[in-house]
This record gives sequence, structure tokens and C-alpha cells, in this order.
Amino acid sequence: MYLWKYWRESRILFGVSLLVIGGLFVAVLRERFETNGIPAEPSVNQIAALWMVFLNLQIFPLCFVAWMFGSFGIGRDMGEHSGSFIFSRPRKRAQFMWQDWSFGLLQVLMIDICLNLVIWLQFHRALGAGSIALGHQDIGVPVSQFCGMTCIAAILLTALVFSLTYFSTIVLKSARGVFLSAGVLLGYIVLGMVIRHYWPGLELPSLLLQIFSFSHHTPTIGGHLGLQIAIRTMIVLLFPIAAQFMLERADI
Amino acid sequence: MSDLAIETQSMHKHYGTLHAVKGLDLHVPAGSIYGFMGRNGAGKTTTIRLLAGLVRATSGQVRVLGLDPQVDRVAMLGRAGFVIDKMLLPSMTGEDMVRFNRGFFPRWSDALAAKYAEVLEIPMKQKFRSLSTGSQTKLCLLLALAQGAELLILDEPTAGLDPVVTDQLLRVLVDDFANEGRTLLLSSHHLSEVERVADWIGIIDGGRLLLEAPLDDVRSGFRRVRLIGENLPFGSRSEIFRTNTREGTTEYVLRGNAEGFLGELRSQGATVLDVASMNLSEVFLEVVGKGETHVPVEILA
Repeated sequence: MYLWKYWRESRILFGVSLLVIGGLFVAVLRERFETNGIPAEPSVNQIAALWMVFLNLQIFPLCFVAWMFGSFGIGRDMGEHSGSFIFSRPRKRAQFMWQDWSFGLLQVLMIDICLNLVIWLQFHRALGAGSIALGHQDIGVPVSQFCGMTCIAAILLTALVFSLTYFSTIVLKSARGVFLSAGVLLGYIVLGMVIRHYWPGLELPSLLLQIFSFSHHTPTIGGHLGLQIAIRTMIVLLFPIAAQFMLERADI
Repeated sequence: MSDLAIETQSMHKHYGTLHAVKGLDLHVPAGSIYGFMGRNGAGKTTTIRLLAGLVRATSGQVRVLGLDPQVDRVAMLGRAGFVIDKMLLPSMTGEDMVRFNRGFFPRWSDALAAKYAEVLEIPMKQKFRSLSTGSQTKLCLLLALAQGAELLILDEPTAGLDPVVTDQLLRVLVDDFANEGRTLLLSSHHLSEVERVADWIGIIDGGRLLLEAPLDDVRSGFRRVRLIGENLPFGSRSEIFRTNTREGTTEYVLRGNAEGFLGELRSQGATVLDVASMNLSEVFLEVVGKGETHVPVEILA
């Protein structure tokens, strides 16, 4: 029943996000492919252009959607003074929280995956069989792997944004936690810029998983990728764990 | 313990520097209708939140249906119904709320929900946020009643309601719920409503329980006496709750053994002008209106 409540509240955002983002990317990619044309063996510049379209461009709408989804759930309910009603139902507080978080994340992931599927289909349509590699055939990255990896990068980033926002709504006991979350993300980016300016040797970890590195003008999958993914997954999980900790000790 | 639906011992709650509940010892007998009375800010809602496990006591013990609301919260909430903020889920209709609530309670009754929707004339297809205050309160009550609770705890259930709706609610609570031997605790500062339905009362002020007793004992236990005499005692006896002297006449508010005390005064030559019983409203004002006066709870209990 509780999942039904969450679905009922978030389904419009879910449907609209799927349609708008999917439609938008089909249009952008078609325009890109049809205007520029992609040769069978693209150059590094073309790969870089693809990269921009394929990953960097998708993270903005996806992060926005993840940010919006983060505002649903217990934090919003408490802000609307429904907390005493919800928490006087015979369930553990942690149960409400984990159901919120899991179901919200599931919806965000579905949007991520659908979007990347749409993009992969567009690539497949433009480039032909999935065996075509970006770069030199012997050391390049096959298109399907390229798509899969960028999908993982997008998922990790949107999961981070969603979890941080969800946690922020619990901290503030209000949907206004979205502003706290936006502030934290923006602050992190600004801090990174400041550090880069004053201490060029130092660099904060990127919010986006760096999957590929370019060697000899050819994209290759970066080292320790499994470890990077594991660490980022653990960071994502820290937020609901912290939210549970706070919620179980909070006065409602 | 088994005779009490609710029991607290030396329960304290601090919010920072605010001491909201100060050593509350509450005893709600099973099967009773307990009127929990106090002024605004007296600590009623905090106490109810403590009972619901929504708020953690700073110190002291709490038992609701024999269970600790912090440790056995899920089990306790399965057997007790709470209406606290009278705010459900704003975007849901009454029908949605029934659907939502049903899954939480094994003893949920759709028949009861339908019955109360009809009796209380609740527009079930309307979103909660667009309902009138009265209908919102009635919907909260419907959900609490249909869950099949053994104990119902309502915070100011009639606040903001017109007399007709208030009458409807009280009828449902007394006739359908409490008459089946279940326990009802309702907090209120509307004394006439409490007097109409309750068989036990507790008066809280400044976070302290000032009085807890069966309502009949309260009605019969307090007397207002006016008399004339010399060398009258002032506050040195346990029977004297308050003394006031004006224009040669002394007025006592007495509790407990008033007749015995008056007999002593008469034997000392005092002339009793009149003895009046006090209703709940007058007792409440005496107990709460003089905030510094503490009535030991065991006097009337």
C-alpha cells in the first residue's frame, strides 16, 4: 500500500520524464546523426562530440529528474504535517524510508536505462552492427559497451543526486530539502573550481564516473573501474543509511 | 498493570530548554473514557505524541496496552489508533485513504468504514485538502475507528467543529466505540464535551498532571463553602484547596472530606453560610487557574 502511495504521487513525473527526455534525445541525436553523418570509423574529434551528446548532455535532464524524485516520500509528508499519520501506522520507520528510497531510485534508474536504450538504438541505427568500435578496431571500445558504460556513469550520478536530495528532505523534514541538496551539489562544483584555481595540483573527485581515458587518440576503459563503481555505490548508499539513522531518532 | 490501558511513570520530555512534560504519572483504566484536559500548551499533545511513540521521552516509563511505544512500536500501533494532527495525505481522496490504510491493519473493517462514511456524511470522493475542517476530522476518525483498535487516542477531536458535527462525533465515539468495552482517551479543553462523555478525567497544566480521578468523584469531591468565623484555618489542612477572605466572609474550596472539616469548624463557632457543589468547569478553573497550586493526584483517585 505504501508503494502505491509513492507511485500515485510520482507517476506523473515519471511518465512526463520518460516522454520528454526520450523524445528530446531522439530528436537531438537524429539531428546530430543526419546533419553531421557518422563515418564507419569515427575520428577522435567525432568521438569527443559523441561523448558530449551521449553522456554529458543526458546528465542534466537526468539529474534534474533525480532531484525532483528525491523530493517525494517521508520528508515531504513530514513537511505537509502528515508525518504523525504515516508514523502512527504499524510499520517501522525504516521500512517507510527504504520503500520510498528504493522505489524512487527504481523509477530514476528506469528513466536512465530507457534513455540510454533510446540512445543506443539511435547509434545502432546510424552506425549499423554493434561490433563497430569507436577508435581503432583492435583497441577501441565497441558501441554497445560504450553505451553500457555511459549508462552506468549516468545511473551512479543520478542515484547520488536522488539519494542526496532524499536525505536532505529528511534532514529538513520538508520537500524544501531539494534546495539544500542543490546547494550542496552546487557548492561541491564551486569548491572544485576554487581548488583548481588556487591549488592546480589538487582536484576533487568528479561527480561523474570517469569511465574512459583517451590514449593515442583512442578511448579505452579506465583502470580500477570496478573499484570506482563500488566506492560510488557505497557513497550513494550512505545517504539512505544516514536518513534511516536520523529518522529513527527524530521527534515527529 | 493489566487493568490500565495506559500508564506512565515520571515521564519527562525536554525540547532543548523547554520542559514540556514534567514527571507525568498517567493512569488510564482499561475500558474507560478518559478526558485529558488542559489549557493550550499544557502538554496534552506532547503527551499523546509520547504515547504514540512519535516522540521519545527524555526520561521515565511509558506503557500503552502494556507495551513500550519505543521498543514495541509496531505491535502497539497495530492495536491502538491515534488521531493527532488531523492531517492525512492531502492529495488523496477519502476512498484512497481507506485503500491506503486498509493494508496496515489486519482487523480493518471495510463495512465499518462505509458505515461511518455514511453516518458522518463524509464526501469520500473529494481530495483531503479540499474537505472542510469538519470533514477532515471526521475522515481521520473514520480511519481510526475502522482499524479495529482496542484503544483510541484522540487529540482535540472536536477543535474547530460546529456543534452538530461535534455531537455526531461524540455519539459515534461513545455509542459505537467505548460502549464495546474499548478504551478511549480524548484530549480537550472543551469541558462540557468531556463532562458529557468521560468517566475519568486527568487535568494537566505546565506539563504536570494536577488531578486524575473518576469524574463522579471530582463532581462530588469538591465543594465551595462560605462561612463567617474567627481563627479559621488557612491552607494548613489537606482538605483546603483554596481560601479567600472578603468583607468578613471566608470562602473555601474544599476537596475530599468536606463534611468532616465543616463539622469541626461549626464546633469552633463558625457559621456556614452556604455549601455549593462544583461542576467540572469550576473544578478545572480552580485546579488550572491557580497554576502554582498542586493537587496531589491520589486525593481523589
